[in-house]
Amino acid sequence: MRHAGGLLVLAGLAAAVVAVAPDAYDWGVVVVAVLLAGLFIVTRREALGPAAFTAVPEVDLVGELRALLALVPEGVLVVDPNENVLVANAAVARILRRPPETMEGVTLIRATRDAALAQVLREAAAAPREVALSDDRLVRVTATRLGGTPVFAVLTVQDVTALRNAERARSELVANVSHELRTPIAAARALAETLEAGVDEPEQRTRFHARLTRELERLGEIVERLLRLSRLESRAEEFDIQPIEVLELVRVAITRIRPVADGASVTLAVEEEVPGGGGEVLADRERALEVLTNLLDNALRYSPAEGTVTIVVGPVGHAVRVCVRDEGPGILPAERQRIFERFYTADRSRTGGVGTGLGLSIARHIVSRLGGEIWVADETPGATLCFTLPRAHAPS
Amino acid sequence: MPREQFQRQIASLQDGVLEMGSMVERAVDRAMQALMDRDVVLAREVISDDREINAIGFHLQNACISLLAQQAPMAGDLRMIVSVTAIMSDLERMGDHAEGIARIVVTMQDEPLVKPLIDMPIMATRANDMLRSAVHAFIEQDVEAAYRVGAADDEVDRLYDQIYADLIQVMISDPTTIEPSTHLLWVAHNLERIADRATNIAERTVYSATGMLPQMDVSSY
Repeated sequence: MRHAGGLLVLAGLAAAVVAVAPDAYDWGVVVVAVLLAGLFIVTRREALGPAAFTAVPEVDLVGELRALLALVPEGVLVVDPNENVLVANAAVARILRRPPETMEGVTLIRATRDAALAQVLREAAAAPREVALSDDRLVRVTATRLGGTPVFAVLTVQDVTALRNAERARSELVANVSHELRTPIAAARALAETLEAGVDEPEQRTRFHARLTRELERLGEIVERLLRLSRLESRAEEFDIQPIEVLELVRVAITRIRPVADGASVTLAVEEEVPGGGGEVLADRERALEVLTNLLDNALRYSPAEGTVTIVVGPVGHAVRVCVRDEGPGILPAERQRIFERFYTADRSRTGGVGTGLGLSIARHIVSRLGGEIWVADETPGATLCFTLPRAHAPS
Repeated sequence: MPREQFQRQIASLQDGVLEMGSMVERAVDRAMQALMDRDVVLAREVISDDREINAIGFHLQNACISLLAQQAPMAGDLRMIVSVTAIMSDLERMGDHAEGIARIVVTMQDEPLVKPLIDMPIMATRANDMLRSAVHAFIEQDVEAAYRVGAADDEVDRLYDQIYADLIQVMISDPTTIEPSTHLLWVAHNLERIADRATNIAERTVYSATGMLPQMDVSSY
C-alpha cells in the first residue's frame, strides 16, 4: 500500500511536469523534475505538516525511483555524493552494454567502466555532452546535480549513434549529388555559352550541339538513377518473381553488353561450375538482368584491351552464385565494402570519370530485395564481384 | 581504522585504475582518429589531455603510499596495493605512447601517407581491447582473463612485423619516402608498446590474485 502510494505521488508529479512542459521531448528533463519534486517533499515533510503525508507515511524514495525509472526509455543513473550508483535503469545497462545486475551499489566508474561519464558528472554538465564509447557508438549524456541527500545527481544517457550516422549520410549524399551534378552542368553551360556567342563553322557548331546533348543526357541519367535508387529504397517498385534459368540470364546479359565489349576489344567468357550453372533461380527477370549487366559494364570499364571478362556460375547451398571477373587493376581491400555506396568510384583517374557511381548501389538494393547478397571476392589479380540469387528448387 | 573502511579505500584505488585505464583507452582512440583524419587540432588536444592522466596517476600513487604507511597491509592487501602502483605506472606510460602518436601526427602535418592505413587501425583496436580486458581482469581479479590478454599480444606483434616489413619495402622502393615511412613506423611502435604494457597489467593481475608473477611477455621487441 505504502509502495503504491509513493508511486502514485511520483506518477502524479511526472504527469504534472509533462502537463506543465508538454514540449519536454527529453525524458531526462522529466526524470530530473520528478526527482527534484520528490526530494522537495521528502525533505520538507515536517514543514508541510502531517496532513500532506497521511496517505504516504514513509516514502522509500530509491525504491519508488527504481520502479518508475524502469519504465523510462532513456538511460538513467542516480548517483549519491560519493559517486555510488543508487539506481541504474534497464535502459542504461543496455546502452552501455553492462550487465544490469552489476551496475547498482558500486561507484560510477565501476558501473559504467567509462571515465568520460564520471567526467560529465563532475563537471555537472546539464547541457548535453556527446561521448564516444569504446565501441565507437555515440551517447548523449546530461548530468544534473540535485544537492540533496541521499540523491546527489542524475545522469541521463541516450544512444545517438544511429541519429548521427543518418545525419552524416544525408549530408554526404547532398554533397555528393551536388558534386556529381556540377561537372555536367558546368560543361553544358560552357558549350551553351559558346554557341550563344556564335560559332561560324557549321561542322564545329554541330559538334558542340552533340556534346551539349551528351552532357544533358548524362545529367538526365544521374537524376534517373537517383530516382531509381530512392524508389528501390522506399520499396515502391513491384517485383515480379519467377523461376528463370540462370544461364538464360547470362545469355541475355551478354547479348546486351556485347556491343560495349566489342568496342573495348574485350572477350566475354562463361564458366559453368556444374553443367547448367545451378539451374533455375527465383528472380525478377529484368531486375536480375540489370544487376548482371551492371557488373559486366563495370568489369568492361576496368578491363585492359584484349583482356577477358569471365562470368562464373555455380550453385552454393540454396542459392546460385554469379561472379564477374575482370583482369583490371583490382579493388583495394579497404574499398571493397565502399564500392556499393552511392557515388563511390574506386579511382576516378582510372575510369576517366565515366559512370555515375550509382550502378553498384542500385545493384546492391536489387539483390537484397531479391533475397541474395552482393560482395567483392578476395580473389586477385583483377576484381571479382559476386552476387547470389535464391534457387528455384532446393538442392536434392 | 576499521576493516570496512580499509576495504573501501582499496576499492577506491581500483576505481582509480579503472578511470585511468578508460582515459588512456580514449587517448589511444583519439590519437589514432587524429592520424586517420590528419587532424592536428585533435592531436594537440590529446597531447594536452595527457597531463590529466598523469595527474590521476600521481594522485593514485600518493593514495597507495599513504595506505601502505598507515595500514602496514599484509598478504593479499599488500599485493593489491603494490600492484596498483605498478599498473598505475604502466598506464601512465601507455598514456605517453598515445601522446607520442599524437605528437607524430603534429609532426606529419599534411605530409601524404606513404601507404593506406589498413593494419594500423586494426593494431590500435587490438591494443585497446587488450588494455580494457587487462584492466577489467584486474578489477575482477580474473586470472583466466588475464592470461587471455597475454595470448592476444601475439597478434599485435604479428601486425607490427607486417607493418614493419611493408614500410621497409616502401622505403627501399623509394628513398624519398624514408622520413614519412619512419613516422608511421613510430606510430606502430607506440601501439606495440601499449600492447606490451597491457600484458604487464595482466601479469600484475595474476600476481595480486595468486602471489606469483608470471612472465607472459615473450615479445621480441
